Amino acid sequence: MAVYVKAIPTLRGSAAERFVKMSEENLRRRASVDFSKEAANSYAILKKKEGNK
Amino acid sequence: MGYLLDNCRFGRLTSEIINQCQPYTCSKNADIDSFFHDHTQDNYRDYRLEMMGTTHCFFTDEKDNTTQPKMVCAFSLSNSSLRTDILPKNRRNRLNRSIPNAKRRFQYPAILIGELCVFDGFGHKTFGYNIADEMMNLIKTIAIDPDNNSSSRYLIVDALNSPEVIEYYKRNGFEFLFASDEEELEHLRSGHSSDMQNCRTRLMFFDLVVLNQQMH
Repeated sequence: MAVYVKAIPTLRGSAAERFVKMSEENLRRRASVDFSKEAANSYAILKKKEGNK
Repeated sequence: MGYLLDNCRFGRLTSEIINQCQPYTCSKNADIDSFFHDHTQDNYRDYRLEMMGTTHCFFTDEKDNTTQPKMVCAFSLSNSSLRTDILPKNRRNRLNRSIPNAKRRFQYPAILIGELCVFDGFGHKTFGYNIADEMMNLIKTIAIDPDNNSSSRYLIVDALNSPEVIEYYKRNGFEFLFASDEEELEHLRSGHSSDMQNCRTRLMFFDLVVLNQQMH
């Protein structure tokens, strides 16, 4: 039985360079996106998850 | 605060939940529709039994117990990784230096969003709420939760290559892994020697490092 999980190709050449550049830029702006409101909503959902009761 | 929080129950997708819900469909994509049902080929149960991924769902919380719940949306998650094997040495070193405490490796942990769907009847905006965005925020929260026993730097998704779907992921901060359809096809062909002619899907990623995790 084949369950298909997408194989992520190894990045090479310009695709790899572009990815590295974006990752470096994101590291420079680490924790810059205020996600507190969204996370609070999500943690409230996780708290009432089925089976957690 | 959100539609899913205020009106839905959340849990792992099971036959029990499916059986207690009203029939549901994802008419936009037959494969996705099939994945989230029992008695179909390559569905969420096969995925779970083979330990390939875990599927979660939201269904309406019918407090009066007389109405069958409605399946609202669902998603599956798997562990994955991003590899950047043959970067020029100077670029490789720069990336690895900027990841603190990391061993020098060229493979970065990620979570793959395998399938994701908002079911028919719960469109882009339901009662003024954006269900799909709320679901994505939950996925991001699961990924960055400090109580996790493992860490991931990225979310990855193989998004259907349609304007509506791509716009959704872009709105939620995802970027293309490849600059163009052509570049993506070239990489996929070189990896799988396939005869693919067009990009039915596009690989996208979200860098979790930008999220402020101070709230927890």
